[in-house]
Amino acid sequence: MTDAAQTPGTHRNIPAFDLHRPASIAEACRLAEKFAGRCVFMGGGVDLLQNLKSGLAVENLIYLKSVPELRAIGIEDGTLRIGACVTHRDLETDPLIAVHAPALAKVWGEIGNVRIRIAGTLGGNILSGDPGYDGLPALIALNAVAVFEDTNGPRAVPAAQLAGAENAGLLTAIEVPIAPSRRFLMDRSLKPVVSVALSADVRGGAVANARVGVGCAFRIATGGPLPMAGDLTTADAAARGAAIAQEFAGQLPDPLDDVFASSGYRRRMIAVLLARQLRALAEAG
Amino acid sequence: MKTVSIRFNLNGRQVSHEVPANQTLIDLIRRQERLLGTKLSCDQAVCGACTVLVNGQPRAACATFAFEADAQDVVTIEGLADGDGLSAVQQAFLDNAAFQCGYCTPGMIMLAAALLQQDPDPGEAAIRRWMGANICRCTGYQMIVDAVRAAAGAKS
Repeated sequence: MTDAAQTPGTHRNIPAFDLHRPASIAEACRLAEKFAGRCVFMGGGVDLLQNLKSGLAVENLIYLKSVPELRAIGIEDGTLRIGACVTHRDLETDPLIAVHAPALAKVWGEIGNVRIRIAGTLGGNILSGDPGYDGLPALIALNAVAVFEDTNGPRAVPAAQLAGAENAGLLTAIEVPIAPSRRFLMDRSLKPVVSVALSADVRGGAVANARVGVGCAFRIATGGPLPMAGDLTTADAAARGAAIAQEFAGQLPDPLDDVFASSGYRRRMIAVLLARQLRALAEAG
Repeated sequence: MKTVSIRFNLNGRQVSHEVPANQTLIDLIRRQERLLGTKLSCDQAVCGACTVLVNGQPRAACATFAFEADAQDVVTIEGLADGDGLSAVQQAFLDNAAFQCGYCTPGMIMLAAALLQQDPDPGEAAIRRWMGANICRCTGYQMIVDAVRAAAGAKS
């Protein structure tokens, strides 16, 4: 047997850092204030470890899996509160999510692979800055709010305005409004060209409060309310869906133009996927 | 602190280490614990060759810090057999010749063991979905699926 020094290790060294393992959100916020500008939070570490292996140097690493509050899932006044360190696998399998947001649970069982879903967190996913990740477009469609905290207290940032909010403090939870009438659809079939998430209230044959989130197609996922001239019923969502989707896609800023697809193709596919989803809403009633 | 004292259960025994905070779990397992069954390949949590179980869940040991094992229960490929008696999954891989070069095998077996702990009788679709997390570059997937089905049958 060779000795330990001769056994090949990981190919790329991670620079040394000071480790901090807070036990509460308050302690994590105090650490972040103390080491402002010289620290990074770690949730699941899916992106962070790769960044560290690729040369990112960090002086202080604040490990958040030691904070139980960040792993909680709860419901209060029609709002699903998902702790920032809840994993994708938790979203896929949690009984509360299964009852109150079954469509989200179903979509979340399909992202990444099971090993990644077990490691990765919803908070890390939306703060990663990777335009291809699924968390942000889904949460924009669901009209979710990201709750950040620092030593001054909490601050809520709508998912659609998350760009530039990465330094707003410690992301503690994501709040998703829920209702039995709320539908959620996400089409990931054209990744990494585009992904489209749609959420709407469907009640008594009427479609209302529709919102769209678009991933992969911009530097950061974008979207918002789906403008519709007049009321939309499920009966005519199929007929009018294509026109509504085309209008929405036409009003978006210019999508990315890269090796995966041209900007024009992306815009067209956003309209195609959204039209299909509106038709699906109509068919499901 | 740049080093951390950790204590955890590894293959059924308590172990203690003083580890650098930046050390990965696979380096602790292979270099300090001398357990060489866990393989390093892509080093970026993609291939799954380094899969170990942490509290029964499959994790890429190359993308997990050693300190994350603190107070947890870790099982590597060496922890599956009971003395000379192979586990049901190991025996099924042997019976079905579910390996070619064998490099992905420890990770595949750990991944399959986690599946059967959570779902003792998965159908073929569930097996394929779950096992899709790991890569066999020899592409011997059919035998791997057969082995997991056989192991499920042997357990149930």
